[in-house]
Amino acid sequence: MFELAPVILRNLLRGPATRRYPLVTREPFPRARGEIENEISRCTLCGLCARRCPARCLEVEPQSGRWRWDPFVCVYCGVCVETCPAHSLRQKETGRRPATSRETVLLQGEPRRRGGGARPAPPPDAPARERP
Amino acid sequence: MQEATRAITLESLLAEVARLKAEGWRFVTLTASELDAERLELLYHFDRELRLQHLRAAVAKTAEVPSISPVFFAAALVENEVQDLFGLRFTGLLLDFRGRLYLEEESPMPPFCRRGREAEAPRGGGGSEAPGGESCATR
Amino acid sequence: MRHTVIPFGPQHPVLPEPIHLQLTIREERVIEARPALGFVHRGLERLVESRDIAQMVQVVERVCGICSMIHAHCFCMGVEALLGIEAPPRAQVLRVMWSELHRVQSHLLWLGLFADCLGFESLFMQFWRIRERILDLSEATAGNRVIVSVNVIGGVRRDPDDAQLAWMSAEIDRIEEDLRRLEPATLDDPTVRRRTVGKGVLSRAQAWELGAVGPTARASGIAEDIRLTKYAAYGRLYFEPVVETDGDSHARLRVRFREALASLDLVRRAIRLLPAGEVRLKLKEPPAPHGETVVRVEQPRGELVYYLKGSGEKRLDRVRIRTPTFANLPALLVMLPGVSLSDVPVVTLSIDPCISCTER
Repeated sequence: MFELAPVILRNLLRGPATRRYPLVTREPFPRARGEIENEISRCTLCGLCARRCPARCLEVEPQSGRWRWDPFVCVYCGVCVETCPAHSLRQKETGRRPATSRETVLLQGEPRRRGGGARPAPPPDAPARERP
Repeated sequence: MQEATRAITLESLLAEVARLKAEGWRFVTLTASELDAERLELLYHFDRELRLQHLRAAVAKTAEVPSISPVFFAAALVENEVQDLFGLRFTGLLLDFRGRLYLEEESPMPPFCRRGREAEAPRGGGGSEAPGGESCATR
Repeated sequence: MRHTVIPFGPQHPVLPEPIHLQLTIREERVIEARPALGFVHRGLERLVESRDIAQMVQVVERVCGICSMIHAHCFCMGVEALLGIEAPPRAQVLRVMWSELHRVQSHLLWLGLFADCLGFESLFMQFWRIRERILDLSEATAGNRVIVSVNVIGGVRRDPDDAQLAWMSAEIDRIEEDLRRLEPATLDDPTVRRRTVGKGVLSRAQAWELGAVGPTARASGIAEDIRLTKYAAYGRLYFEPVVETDGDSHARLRVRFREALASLDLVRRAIRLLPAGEVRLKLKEPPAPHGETVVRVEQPRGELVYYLKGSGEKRLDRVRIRTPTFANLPALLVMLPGVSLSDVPVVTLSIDPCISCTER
């Protein structure tokens, strides 16, 4: 009848198993899947991220230079980050914070010229990623 | 998969299934898929000792298919699902929800049949090669 | 004698997902149970019309929240079979490693819910405390706690390094110790036994005829486990399925507890077996498979069957998913008559119902 007693005694000596979030937070694990961010100056507005996205949360308009991401539709799979040829998309390690209204992220970049220029080199601190 | 599949007709369905049960096969599931505007394809899957066997039958969408739930009671649930999603009628179901297992009255019927739907969007949306993609327009 | 009809679900404290059972009761014993489904039907199979194959991997992952990795694994295996390619050996072993970690996590979730359904809340919290550490292992190596999203056509997306694998191995040892400490309270406690022994009995013949799969069937003496077909890296990892013969709720409890321990051992052995090499095949063009195939894997709840049909375009014609709870529901409907009303939650939960899998 007292089968759980040893476990209970151990737990009394070990302390609580929970942390007092949000006063105490845990360091995220490296490469955990969090928010998407786009360095719009590097973005070539090719639209490949929008085409690969399984949740259809990205909109790219090359003519006007607008890049829109809906963090409430996004499933944070990271496929867009892997696909981006300009290395402008990155995934943070912390997730989207709770919000009181549904906002999308709208960035304004250079409208795409016909013919395009040379693709910028990846920044020196870009993480090594698997290419599709 | 092809080597383990046999084509049968609706008339021989119950006899084939009863024979498989007598030989010790377990009913796994029934798959329905659309062949064209008038026909569906029914695939019955069976298992014995980790090997699979399949029976294939092409039926008209308006046909009445004999239910195998008197032989395998487990088939009643999946035949109800096919009734709901493809609009195919089964006769002799031991447990019949008459098209209300998943769907409500106002659901578009039948949901999984592509051809024959009114105002069908042409199949050519997302994933097109034009820059910008369709994800701008249809969100 | 008059009958009473009592609705069970869709909202009920013991049910993780909504299912409605209409119970016809006479003098507190169930005579008949009639199910009503459709509360979480999303029609995910129809998304093949608008999502190409690489995007469908993310869609099938979200069929079920608890066993999502295994759905994606099965789908990728099916597409790879149609394309005639095979994932590299390291990717195969990693897939097995994460799948078994998923199985442990799913069984611990069920064990906690089962203890909670019996009213044993402190045991529920102990199981979920251990589960948190498994989820940390998933997050550190695969990027996410439950919907890990590591499978792609041709391999996996993440490659844990040696330091992470060594840490994982040590953590698995500690987790196994903690889980074994809970065994007497789970399996031998007299109250747990009184509420589960002899309740919801499913005989071997009934289980076979109704097509029961997974731990529900293995608790009734049917020794079938799809991992014995040696898909992925299971051919190199010897294991024996856990089988009991009593067929009651206590037997199902024993099967899942022992399977959780067996899976922890499989994770450890998979880490030791991990060969060097790449983890992902580079596909030359977007996959456009032709043909049809049926693939099966062993999910925590039983046999998962995928039927895929492609006609050479980049979208599949048909994806048909048959989940194990769909196969176990007829067995539940046969188990319930004769059970007392207060035991209905225990018996229903003992088949491990995952209704979002059932209805997709």
